[in-house]
Amino acid sequence: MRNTKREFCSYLIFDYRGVEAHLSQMAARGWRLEKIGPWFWTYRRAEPAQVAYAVTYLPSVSQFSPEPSADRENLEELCAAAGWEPVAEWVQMQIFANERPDPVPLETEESVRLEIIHRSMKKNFLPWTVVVLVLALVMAGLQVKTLLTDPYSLLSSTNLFPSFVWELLLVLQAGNLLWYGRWLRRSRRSVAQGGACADAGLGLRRFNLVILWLVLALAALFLVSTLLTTGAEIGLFVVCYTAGLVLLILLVDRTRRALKRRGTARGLNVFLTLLVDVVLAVVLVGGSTWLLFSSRGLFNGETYHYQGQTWDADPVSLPLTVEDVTGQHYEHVRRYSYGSGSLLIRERSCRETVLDGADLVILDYDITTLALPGLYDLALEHCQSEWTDGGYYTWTETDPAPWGAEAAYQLRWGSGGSWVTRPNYILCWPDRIVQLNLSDLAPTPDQMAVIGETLQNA
Amino acid sequence: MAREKFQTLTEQMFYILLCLGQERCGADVMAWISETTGGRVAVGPGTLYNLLEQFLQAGYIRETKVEGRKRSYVITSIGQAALEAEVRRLRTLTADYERLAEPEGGAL
Repeated sequence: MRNTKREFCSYLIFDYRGVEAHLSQMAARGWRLEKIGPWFWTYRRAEPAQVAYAVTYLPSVSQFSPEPSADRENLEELCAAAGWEPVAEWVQMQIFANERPDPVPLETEESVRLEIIHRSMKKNFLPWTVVVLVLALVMAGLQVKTLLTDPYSLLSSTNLFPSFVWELLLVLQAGNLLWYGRWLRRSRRSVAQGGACADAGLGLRRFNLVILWLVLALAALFLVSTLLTTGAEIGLFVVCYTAGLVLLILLVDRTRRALKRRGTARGLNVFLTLLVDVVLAVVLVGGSTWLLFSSRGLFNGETYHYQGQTWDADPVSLPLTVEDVTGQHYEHVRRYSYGSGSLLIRERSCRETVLDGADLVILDYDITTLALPGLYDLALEHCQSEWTDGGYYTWTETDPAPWGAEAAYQLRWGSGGSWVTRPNYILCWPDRIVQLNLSDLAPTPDQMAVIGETLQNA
Repeated sequence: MAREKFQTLTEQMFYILLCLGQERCGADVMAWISETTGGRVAVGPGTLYNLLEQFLQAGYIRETKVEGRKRSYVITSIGQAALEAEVRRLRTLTADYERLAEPEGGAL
């Protein structure tokens, strides 16, 4: 039987009623709040009991204030006289418990409560909410601009799903700000009429939880998308990187708490915590980048040199090789394969160079797989524009039948009515567009059929 | 600014200032108010802490000694003036009531 339990906290700092009621319910179920961490609240098992929890605020303290803070000690001394025992603190929120029957409430004057809540909100929550809101607004604006000017790059980006976190943050911060503003107005009106501060309401907690679930769903989509588009190695890398990030946050939080406990001055705590944060971030980013690029099997296989060129000892497998097209075996090959994209548009770039006698033969193709038929025109336009933007090249329709495709285009180069065809093709199926550069290979109809069938099913 | 804030004193503010006519620590303030008012007025420790802080900032009270975690306070002349102003205000209210209220219905 577990003796501790962790719970994600969806309360906002001004929701004192929600916190008090929740903690009392937990105590009645046999769980007492033990500590508050960066993400989770930890409870320990105890005998179910009727425990009154109450919350007050110390606007003068911050997450970096040394412990024991004189203000907190002073408050605790007063609370102890009324039977209130300190339980935990959460930024400026101070949580106390009292098992005496019918204790004197911690707060008995609502105007004072409202004032200290608002002062506490102005110290941490409001400035950070506004900063993140402005940042999210800028990022979301840039994203909308990209969606309008270059939708393909956004929809085919590996970061398509994580990028929507900015929109969620925008909604979250704006929602929380509006909610707090409404709560403050209602509380001021109520207190002016001799009433209590308003209830923050269940809706706020649900709203925050919904946004959290959506963020987690985006993270899951990102992971699935990465696994499908870039392969298991990069997917594993993303998982490890995320774990490193979580570890970094935990270590930074531990550092801050340890410095607090040692009584380090607030300014020095801020400086040292930031220093640890920056150092760990450099280690994480630098270390993971080194791991990514140096690890054998991710990008760099074993190679050897022959006739002044580098060749792969154990080439990666490609959907289509020069050998598949020509039917000949080549001793010296080097290959490159890279997957990217999103769940909507997946891209795979492949390139093979083989040594045929003294000549080099190159096969180069990009496979774009579309999850929705509606993306076809966008993907085709993107594919074509990669060549035609300069004005010297144009794509002309060619017979798709030999390729087994539904549409085919060949690149032409020239000006003033003099055109030269190039060995570059675009082969189209409803859910797939392949851009193909055959270099010096002049395919026969049979080879075209092999290429088309292989790339359609790759 | 501070004077404006305490232009009128709430019951709890009033009794805290009244109680600090003698040097007392926070716990004694809570006990004294509860005892003196027969439990009619109770000041919670959170409220007391914040009001003592606000009175200190406004110069209404001053800290007299710190013994471990226990802090004691006493009212200042500014605080005494505020308390007396509040008493005069309450007397005016009472006098107005007695002068203007009908002897029998109790209403104006």
